Amino acid sequence: MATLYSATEISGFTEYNEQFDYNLSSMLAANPLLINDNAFRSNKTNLRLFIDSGNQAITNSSDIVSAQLCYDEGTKLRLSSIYYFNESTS
Amino acid sequence: MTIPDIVTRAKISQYLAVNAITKGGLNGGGIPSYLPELILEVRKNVEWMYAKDPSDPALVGIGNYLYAITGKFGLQASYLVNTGGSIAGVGVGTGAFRAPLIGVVGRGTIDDPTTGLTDFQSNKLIGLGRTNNNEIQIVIGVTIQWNFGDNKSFDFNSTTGTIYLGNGNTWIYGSGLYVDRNQ
Repeated sequence: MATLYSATEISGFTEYNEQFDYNLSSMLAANPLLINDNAFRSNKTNLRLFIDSGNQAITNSSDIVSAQLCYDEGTKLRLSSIYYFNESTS
Repeated sequence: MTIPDIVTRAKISQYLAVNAITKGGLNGGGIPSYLPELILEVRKNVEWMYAKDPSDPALVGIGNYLYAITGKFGLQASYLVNTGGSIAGVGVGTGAFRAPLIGVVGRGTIDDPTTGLTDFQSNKLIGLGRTNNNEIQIVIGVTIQWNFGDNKSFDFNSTTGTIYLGNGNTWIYGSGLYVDRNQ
């Protein structure tokens, strides 16, 4: 039987990390002084960096290994958020 | 202002902030170095949620926060959006300077009023006086004229950038028109 067609689609699963980053922005909107917390700010930037880098790895070269490594770093920030994003510091 | 409006202004504000920090020299002219990053991050969050669920209860709050952090760059972005994307230099320290509108009645260029008409519209005048209840001063010939208080001699529509001469007056051929666009 001849193969008529095949297709492969690679998508990064970033939903949880995106939602988490969105929640961080929600915290900032509710408490703008939080931006003075250098750890909060730099870790939030890192989270965005990891999400976008993972997406770039898939979009530009379908490199799912590198993408997963980036997503894992972002997930680490999310799962250990109590250490990286302490809302009560400002 | 809608969420897409804010997102558009945030995108412009991001590079305006980068340029202002670069030109600001020491300490980036007092602009926080993290501002462009913050605008980028929050803007991406807003875009993400708007695509996913525009009715999210937190979206308006975060959108307003995004517009708030763009600050003066958001205002400059609004100007750029409304005028098709030109002029409006980024001011460092003292704010942006806008060159005056100088016209001669009947000369025929885009900045010149037409002889015999009672009004004059220019896109360069859009938004003028917006921070002062649309109240402005202009110079016609050698006379300062204003659109507020006693003896006002014209009306001004800031939204369309139109001057309407009052008291039955029309633009007289050869008269000069000077409008300070920093008011």
